Amino acid sequence: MSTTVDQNQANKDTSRELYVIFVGDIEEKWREANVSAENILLEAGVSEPEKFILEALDHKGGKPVAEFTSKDLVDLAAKDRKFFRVTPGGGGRS
Amino acid sequence: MSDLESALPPPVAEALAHLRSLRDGEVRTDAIQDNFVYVWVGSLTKNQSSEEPGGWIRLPLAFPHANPHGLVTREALKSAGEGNIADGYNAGHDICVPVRPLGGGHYYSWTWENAPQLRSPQDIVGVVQWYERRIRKG
Repeated sequence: MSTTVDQNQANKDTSRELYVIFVGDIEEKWREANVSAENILLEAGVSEPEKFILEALDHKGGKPVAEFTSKDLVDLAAKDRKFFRVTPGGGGRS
Repeated sequence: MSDLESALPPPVAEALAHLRSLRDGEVRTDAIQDNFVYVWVGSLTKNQSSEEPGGWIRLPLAFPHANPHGLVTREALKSAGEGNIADGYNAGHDICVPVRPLGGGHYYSWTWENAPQLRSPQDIVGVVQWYERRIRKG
């Protein structure tokens, strides 16, 4: 049925859709909208993602508008999820 | 280069050059005291639009082999909600003395505890971001 073919074609196109993001100057391409922050950090070369925070920026070099630990899922289809930066986590006081 | 800066260990000088190149061209060294450099970062963001950005990050002379410790500001930091940041706050602390002539009067005794190990002078950019997050978290 043509409807089925059309639907299959639509699915194919969707599966080709890429979410292109930047972690600092590093470009990453993801096929799915929901990606773990851990994987985004690892892809950016962070070797101990659990010790870092992924911050979503309002524009390139802009201010952080959301933050994610390595355990969080990031919805790349949401607003302000194009540009990110990696910030050390932790901290205490003396 | 200022006399103060010419006296810095090479890794610290490299860190400052990196910070200027990637983040803030106006970064400067304002004091050295007790093995810490007071690095003015004028672009350090705060929580409220009414607050002037900027503050002195206390960077150890042994950076990156030793950790940053504390922040000095001209004004008390406002929290993201209401009121001022109370965590680690010390008004008029002796730590402020080296930059008091420049307006430094508020000390936040924040430490690098539980933060990732610093490995290179280039980590300075993350250090500044860490301070900004610390300010955001109050």
